[in-house]
Amino acid sequence: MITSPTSTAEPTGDGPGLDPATVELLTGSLRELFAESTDASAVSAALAELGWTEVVAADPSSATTILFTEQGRALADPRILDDVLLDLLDPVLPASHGPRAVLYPHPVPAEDAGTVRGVLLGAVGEDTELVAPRRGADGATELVVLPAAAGSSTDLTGFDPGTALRLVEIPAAAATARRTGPAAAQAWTRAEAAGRRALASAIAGVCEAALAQAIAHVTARVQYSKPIGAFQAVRHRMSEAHVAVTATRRTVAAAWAAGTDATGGAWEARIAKYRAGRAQAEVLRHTVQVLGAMGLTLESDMHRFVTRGALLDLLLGDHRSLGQEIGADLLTGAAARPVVEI
Amino acid sequence: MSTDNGPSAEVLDGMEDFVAEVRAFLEAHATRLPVDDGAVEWGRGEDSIAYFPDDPPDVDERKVTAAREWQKTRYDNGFGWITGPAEYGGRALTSLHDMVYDGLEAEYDVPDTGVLSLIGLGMIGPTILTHGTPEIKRRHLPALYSGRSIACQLFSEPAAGSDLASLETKAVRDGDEWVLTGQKVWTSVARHAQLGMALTRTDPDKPKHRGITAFLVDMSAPGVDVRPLRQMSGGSEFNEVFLDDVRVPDDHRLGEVDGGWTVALTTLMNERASVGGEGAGPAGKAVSVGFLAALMREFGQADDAALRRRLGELHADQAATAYLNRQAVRRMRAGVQPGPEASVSKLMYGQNLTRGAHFAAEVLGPRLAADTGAWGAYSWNELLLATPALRILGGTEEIMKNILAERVLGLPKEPGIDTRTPFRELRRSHQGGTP
Repeated sequence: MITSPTSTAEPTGDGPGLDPATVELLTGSLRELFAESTDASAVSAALAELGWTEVVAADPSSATTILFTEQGRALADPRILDDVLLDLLDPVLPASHGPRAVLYPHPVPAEDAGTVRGVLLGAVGEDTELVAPRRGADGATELVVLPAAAGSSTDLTGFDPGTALRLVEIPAAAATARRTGPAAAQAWTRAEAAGRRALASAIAGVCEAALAQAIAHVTARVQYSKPIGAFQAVRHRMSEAHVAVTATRRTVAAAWAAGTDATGGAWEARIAKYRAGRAQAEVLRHTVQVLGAMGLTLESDMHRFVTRGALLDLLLGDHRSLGQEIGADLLTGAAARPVVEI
Repeated sequence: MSTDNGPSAEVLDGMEDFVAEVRAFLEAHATRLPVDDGAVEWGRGEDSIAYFPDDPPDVDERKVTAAREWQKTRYDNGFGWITGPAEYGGRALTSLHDMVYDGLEAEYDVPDTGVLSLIGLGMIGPTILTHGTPEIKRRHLPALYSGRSIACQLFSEPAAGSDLASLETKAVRDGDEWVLTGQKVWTSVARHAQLGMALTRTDPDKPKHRGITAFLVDMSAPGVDVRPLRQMSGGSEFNEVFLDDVRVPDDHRLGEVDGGWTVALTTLMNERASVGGEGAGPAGKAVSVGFLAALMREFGQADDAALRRRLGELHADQAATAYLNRQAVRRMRAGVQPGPEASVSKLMYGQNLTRGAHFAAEVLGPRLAADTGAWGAYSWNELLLATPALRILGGTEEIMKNILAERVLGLPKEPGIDTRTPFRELRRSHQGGTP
């Protein structure tokens, strides 16, 4: 049952790694941790105290899946995503001179080719180095390190007040380091894949929490002398939402199983992110509808899931563009990979 | 796109001897198929993608005979009933052995035994094994699993579809016999069946679930009349079966008098498990993204952005369904029987086929409705018209969603009066006479 306190994330859990009891225990700890604070630095400190690095080392797929599922459920600050990408980017970059943050590609690149435009998951200090992917002159992806101080940034919190996203523009000429060639391109491909898996889990978490809230509502709310959840029009929406979330979780688990190849499982990770993005659109439409007018007001929390789901969908490729990319690749046959064996 | 060519390495682990035995049997009795690399050869061979076959009677008959013969060959060599108990002709192995066998057999060119296996071996056999007397088991199980006997399910009625327990076909006791009268419908394979498992009303004064009794009916008995129903997609997959004073001996009863609902639940559980996981034959291949991409290219729509996005969508959903099915397999390996969660796969499977057919309809436009002679165009109508069936048979989508809502999500049941009220007093679709 989706409202149970046990883990609803679906770590691959087949190979060596964390056993189900440990996964459940960690899920409980994470849920408490996020209940205490959803602030990025507090969460990072609490994770360090929990020895999270060792948990990730022991079983990266289960650890990342439950961490981001819980992060999504709690609508916590999404900034821990940076760590997932930087883990794979740092090794190909020069040693850092200060804290680093990822500058995520903006769906609309800057018009001026000399400007790097991207999105930061939160405000950063002047001494922060921003790591950004960029299309090089030869069309290949390269990585640049840019001093935060050299750019201009504006607030991007309009849609989801729970986050502190910043839109950043920096002259490419300000880069303190630039990495080109296959190693840099591959590092970004792998980082993007890892980020997409984490985001897909976070979106699954958002959907699960929204669905749990909707289920609680339709069970308690009585009209025509019965709980509205007894009406098929209502319960079928809940079942469709459940199907979408289940399919997403399974696809994320499969994407992890595929993540060991040279591209870091990029093909499957893109499918997982796509599936999650579509799930949030479907699930939140249903959960809002069954709450009736209550779901429209700020007195209900439902709007927070709606905005967060939509925001996470936009990071590292929204489901509309990803769907189109997957379709285009299938048509060229270039990436027509079989369904991964799990 | 599914690439289920044979079982995965994980499933085969620890089964080397069994695999060798199966291979030896198949090599001796069948021809190996060329390896399917998923490549699409547009314009070559048959373009039929019918989900339900529409064969002329002689071809149909030939296929049934071939199915019976292949099942007998399996049975004679110890593969007719891999999970069944030895005393009734089974091999007493696990469902994993069964899956391994199926996986290996799929690499060979053998007759399709669906006419026997989907209903008879998949659903009615297990029901007889659970609820039959030793005498019934001895009489029917070896016959079913050796291909001598084909069984059908006499469950649904004109006024009892999703609400199966409101069935009206009555059985009245007459000494050592029962007299059955009523009408059954949507009965697959009834024309070929020797045996029918019938649910009947034996006590209309009890609540509807408690006055039902199950019988095994000899389909050649006087009073049994089978009439095929033609479908809009072509073919006649289903039949009506009229029972007119059909006499059934009491020792052909399955389970207790008025205890038939429990018996029916065994059958239905096996049905849900089989529908969600089944392959779709030529239809499955047609909705694979490789084939649909070829269709887009062939009909000049490869650059349509909206169709590209939908192709990506179909791929993601098919992949998710395949992953769900593999998880079910893994759980089965761990000894977990399929539960209400199986409804998720069934829902997605029906939707995938439907969306694939709708996608093709959009690419083809008018070529789908009028036969222009183009290869792989008009033939899609067979699948398009058959896909609604996928969302109905084995429990409608609406019922699947109810199951998920109640049993997985814990939503409140619809308050009903039908668990306490005598069947006789319930409102039904037609109030024709007292049962």
